[in-house]
Amino acid sequence: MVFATVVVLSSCSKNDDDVNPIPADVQPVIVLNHTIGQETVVFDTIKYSNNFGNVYSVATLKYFISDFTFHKSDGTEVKIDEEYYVDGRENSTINYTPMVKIPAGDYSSVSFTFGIDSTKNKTGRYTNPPESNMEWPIPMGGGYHYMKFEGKFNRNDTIKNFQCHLGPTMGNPNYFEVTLANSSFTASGNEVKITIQMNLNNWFGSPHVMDLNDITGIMGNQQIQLMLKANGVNVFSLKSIE
Amino acid sequence: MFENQEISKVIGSGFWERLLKSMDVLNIVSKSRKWQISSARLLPGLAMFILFSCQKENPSEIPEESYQTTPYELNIPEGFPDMEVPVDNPMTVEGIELGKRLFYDPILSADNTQACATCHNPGFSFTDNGKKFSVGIDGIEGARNAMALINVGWMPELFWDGRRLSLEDQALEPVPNPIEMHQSWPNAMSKLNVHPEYPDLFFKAFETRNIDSTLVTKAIAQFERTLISSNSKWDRYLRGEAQLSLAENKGFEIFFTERGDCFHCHTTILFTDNLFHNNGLDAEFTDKGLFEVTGNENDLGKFKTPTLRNLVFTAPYMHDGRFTTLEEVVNFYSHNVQWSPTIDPLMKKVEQGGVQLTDEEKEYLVAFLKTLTDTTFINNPDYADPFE
Repeated sequence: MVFATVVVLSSCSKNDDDVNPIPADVQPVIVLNHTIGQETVVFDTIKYSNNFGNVYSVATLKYFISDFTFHKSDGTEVKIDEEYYVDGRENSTINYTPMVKIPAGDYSSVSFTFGIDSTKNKTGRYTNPPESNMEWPIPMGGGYHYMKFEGKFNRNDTIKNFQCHLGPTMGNPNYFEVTLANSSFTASGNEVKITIQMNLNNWFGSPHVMDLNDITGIMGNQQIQLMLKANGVNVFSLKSIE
Repeated sequence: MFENQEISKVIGSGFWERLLKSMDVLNIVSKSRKWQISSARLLPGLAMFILFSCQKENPSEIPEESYQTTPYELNIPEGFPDMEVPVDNPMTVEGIELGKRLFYDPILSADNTQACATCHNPGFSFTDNGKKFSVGIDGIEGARNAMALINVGWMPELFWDGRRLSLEDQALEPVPNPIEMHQSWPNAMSKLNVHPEYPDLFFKAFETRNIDSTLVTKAIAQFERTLISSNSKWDRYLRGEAQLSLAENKGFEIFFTERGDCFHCHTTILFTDNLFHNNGLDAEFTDKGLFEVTGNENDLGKFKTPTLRNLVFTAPYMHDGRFTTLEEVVNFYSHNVQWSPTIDPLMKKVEQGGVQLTDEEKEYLVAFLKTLTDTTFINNPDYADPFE
């Protein structure tokens, strides 16, 4: 699901009198892989271990990514001003095709925002589900959850629930930018496919080792939101660009 | 007569916009976000209309009688989602009127004693008169509480287990159901087709006197899509037309924070996520809920989130009507939540039995829930029994 499409191009003019051919635009396609380590997530099975030692399952994985930006070595960039909603259980949502293309050429890196920036994350932005169901209520700052990552874990032979909900706690800008390492590429042809891996274990792994017993009712807990934000930049990695 | 190629060309040059404007439809489109979206759906119908008009050049093909239906403009309240209206069942004034009549007419039951409205009484926000379970024409009791028909046009799945995917589909079930109206559709059709008025009413709505179950359910669904509630105290508060009391305000904060944590499921302006959850009612299930439809063990004990709008009229509560008061419901979520393998991960403090609201907090929360009461909905003359 894509919203608000405005592309900010560094420079791209079209003139029929140009002698030199204009580089053709290339359609970026973002593919999202959800893994625990290198293993693709299987939902509803308590079998994954995090750094703390919790054994847990994944039941819900819904989140927004936004503002994919393609950087050039000369400092210019192509930013796709869109938000995209992902439901890890719905295969139809894990391939994100932005509504705009990028100019062909060399790019030095790719970055994006996890969540939605504060200027856009306002209550009322989405009226239709499933995005509207990500509502972050006004008494907690308003806007929308960046992520709902929920499941169960085994604690001393008792199965408990956790809710890793990230968002703008009392208006705090808990969204963050992710720059994918080693993401230089040349855009050519019709399409460039960028496959990104989201390793769910890393939400609880580094730099803060988190106990899932603490990941419940955290929407009003800015301290935990900041710890998850710090961990979040280590959650994503580039798998391939082709 | 247009060739197809020529038609395509005029479509591309803004023909439809001009046509819509000339038909005074564009004004309707511009009034409502819904109709802006639906206008695209009108186009195929208009295309057919044009082609049909072209064919009228041959007098032998002119039907003997025709009736122009009146498009109905759905008034989508501010902040509500777009409503998906099936392409093959556009809303019309005539269709809605017919649907309302059918909804209230006991002719759809085998012994002419029960109508849809018997178990979906508008005075109870279209639930069954405070009953735990509805009783069919043969005196047999059902096993689930009749759901409220309020803002149902925004519900993509119907029934507590979501087994029907449209209002049209849903309406097919109660008529032949042996514990409800217990009348075969062919029998119902026979009665309607010889009725002194219905054939004409169907002609006005669907341009045919050949009544079948598809048209009956289409008409009822059209009426049901008009059942919109957006005038509770809560709505008026959002519009700046009302103030919440101190208790209501405190309840609002409990509802919309993780203190009460009601909002995750009863979310958005609809007060439902329209999804399925095991909210911890039971440790073991006599009614397996969504599992009955999917066969997936992960769906055991999951039921559709009901809207909380007008809940003061919709007691008793839960899929089996086990709670008779809002206080009982709030007590359950505070202290009596049961663990089971499929319990929703949103349920917090399950090992303690729930969110542990204090008595004072429970009172505040109930006060807030009552702000969702919309008496203009239950008293709306547009929804009332046309036979009275």
